[in-house]
Amino acid sequence: MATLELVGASKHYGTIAAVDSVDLRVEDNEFFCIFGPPSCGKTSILKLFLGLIEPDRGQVLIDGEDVTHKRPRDRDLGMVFQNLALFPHLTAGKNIAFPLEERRWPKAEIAPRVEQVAKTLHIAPLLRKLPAQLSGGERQRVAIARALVRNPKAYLMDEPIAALDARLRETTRVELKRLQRDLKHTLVYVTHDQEEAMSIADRIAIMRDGRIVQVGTPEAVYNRPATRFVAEMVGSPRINLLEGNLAAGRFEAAGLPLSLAFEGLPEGPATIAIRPEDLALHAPGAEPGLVDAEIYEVEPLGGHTVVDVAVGETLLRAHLSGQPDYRPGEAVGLRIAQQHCHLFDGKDGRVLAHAA
Amino acid sequence: MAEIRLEGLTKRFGKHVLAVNSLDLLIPDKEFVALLGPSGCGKTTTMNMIAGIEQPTGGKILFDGADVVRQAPEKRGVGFVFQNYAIFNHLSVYENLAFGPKVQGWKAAEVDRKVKEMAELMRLTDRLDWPSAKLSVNELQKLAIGRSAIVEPTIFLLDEPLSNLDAAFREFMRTELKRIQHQLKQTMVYVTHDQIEAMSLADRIAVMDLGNLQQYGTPAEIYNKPANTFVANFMGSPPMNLLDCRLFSEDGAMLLELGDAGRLTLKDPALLQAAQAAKRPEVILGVRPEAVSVVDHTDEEGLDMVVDLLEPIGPRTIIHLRQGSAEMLAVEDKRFSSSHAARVTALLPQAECHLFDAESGWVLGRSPESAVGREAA
Repeated sequence: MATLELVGASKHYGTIAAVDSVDLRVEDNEFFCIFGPPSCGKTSILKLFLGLIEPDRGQVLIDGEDVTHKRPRDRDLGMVFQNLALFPHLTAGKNIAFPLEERRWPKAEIAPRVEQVAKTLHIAPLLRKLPAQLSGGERQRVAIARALVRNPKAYLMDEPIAALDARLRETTRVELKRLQRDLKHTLVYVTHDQEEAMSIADRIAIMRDGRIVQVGTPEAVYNRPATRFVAEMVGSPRINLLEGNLAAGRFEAAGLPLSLAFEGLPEGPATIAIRPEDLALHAPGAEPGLVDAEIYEVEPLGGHTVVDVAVGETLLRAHLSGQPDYRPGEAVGLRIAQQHCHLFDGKDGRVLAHAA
Repeated sequence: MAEIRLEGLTKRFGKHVLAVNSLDLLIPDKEFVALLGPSGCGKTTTMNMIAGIEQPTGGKILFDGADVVRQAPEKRGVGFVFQNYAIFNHLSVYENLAFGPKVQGWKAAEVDRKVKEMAELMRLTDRLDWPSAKLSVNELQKLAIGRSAIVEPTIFLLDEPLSNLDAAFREFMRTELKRIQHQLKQTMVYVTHDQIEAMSLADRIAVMDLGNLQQYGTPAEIYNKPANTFVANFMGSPPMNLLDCRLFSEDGAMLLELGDAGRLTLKDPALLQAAQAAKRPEVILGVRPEAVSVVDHTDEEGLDMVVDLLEPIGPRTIIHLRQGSAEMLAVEDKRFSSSHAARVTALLPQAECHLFDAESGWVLGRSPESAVGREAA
């Protein structure tokens, strides 16, 4: 149970700002994801909370208390690293018990507590095994159990499942979400995987170059991106971008016949963004307002199909339900509905208009 | 023209490891075939035997009907692209592309023409003068493919060529590879552990596990009609729901009992036929998450489930349902839409349901031979 806060926090390495004037508040009981490309500063934020690095400016608050200059061990936070850092010579049980022994818990209390945590994570039968005898997913759970065991105020996790294979990542992230929901603990979770962030977080902070670009629910960052960068970072396949120009109340796309009305916006270069699932394909000329296009490539993925559509030199990617039967070279009519289009400023990328 | 036929292809390592077990596979000319499976399934060993890097312990490898098992790798006309792209770092992009043709003694003018053509196809034209060391990871991978493709091998083997790339590049390169394959028109064999890559790229997929072929077919066949629970679970994201249940008959009807979730009366002819083929009442019901519809109220027969949690993943939402020991997933093609009641009914379209034997995991109602795939024989 804890709130975690950064107030105007900055951390520089030489002239490089790893964290640049960040204000951030993680609420009690929240599953909070920090998401961004490599070297955006997301891990540095975890380190600031943990006390592994100190900010050059600004404050770190836990439950409203200024802990900026407190030692890591006095902050009462649990941490899970990507490279799990289990002791190879200790059994799973001993690994989990380690934080308790280090804090000199009475022996009689350690075993039952380890048992209890192991049960929560479905690893009770594995306690006598060495890490080398466990699968990747099992080792993962032992590392999480070790972080949970002393019941810290909050948990911090740095890409804890990035090293697992795709299928195991999908199931483990659900287990983590269940666990957090059942334990009702604050969890700050760093990932570079947008699908992971979207699927498990209550709220997401999206970072770029040491700054937070947007904080919001998965729905907010997906449906109402604050900048073109956010729109590109969340969603797979990636959002479609069409460059063009705003003049006299209209957006005119470059290289394809698309003209949309946007009243009262400054003139100049701009970008339209539309999600792949918001593009619709019809027979050519089936209804008015369709853009003449050609199927370029079809990727059937079972439950859905990704279709690349060419309009002249421009390629757009559409996400269609089911297994539609399109062939490369086929002529289609593409619907780019204005209600689904975001509009971004061509120079600084900030949003000018959101989709309806 | 190059058709590859594997007949009873077998590879043992020592006495105890059977890496590839009597594999029969027909790879038609100019097709793109993916060998798909988890690590240790035998896919890379199979590819190495086709390339001639490893010798089989048994069986035949026929290229257009001629057995090549005793042929040296360089005589087989096979191009190879590895996971680590093996580019000459000290040479320019141009020199890397020209390397193979020069070794084969092509005329200088011919080499130049072909290098430029390949650079165009790989979209590397403006990089030709660059030292290879300066290329980005995805350009390196394209160069590796171009360097193998330029000598026009009749068979092209690719071993996990995309697995070193990050997610966004991988998506991009998937489309690039497909485009390149359309234009090269070579027989391609592609090893991968990634079912999405296999689904999106291949004309046909051979799913392997523990040295055995599990199924061979088009992506749609593999996805829509899995031969067994291994294939059902390996393909798809999220994978097919596999529910333990019990068959019984009542008042002349066949029913499935799914623990606390309820029961289903079998009506679909194919499903009834599968049920009749069951040797014991314990069966596994398979249904894809996107075929399941979740409704709050209905008069139709469905399963009573509790909504456990929702995973919004952009265009789709995964709904986790449970009831007692029964768990299942449903996928809705909606974003953040799912404001379902806590208790819901899951409707399973029977035409999209499959029954598997609970012990062997093989699909009921089809013979194992036909389930594996007609081309396999």
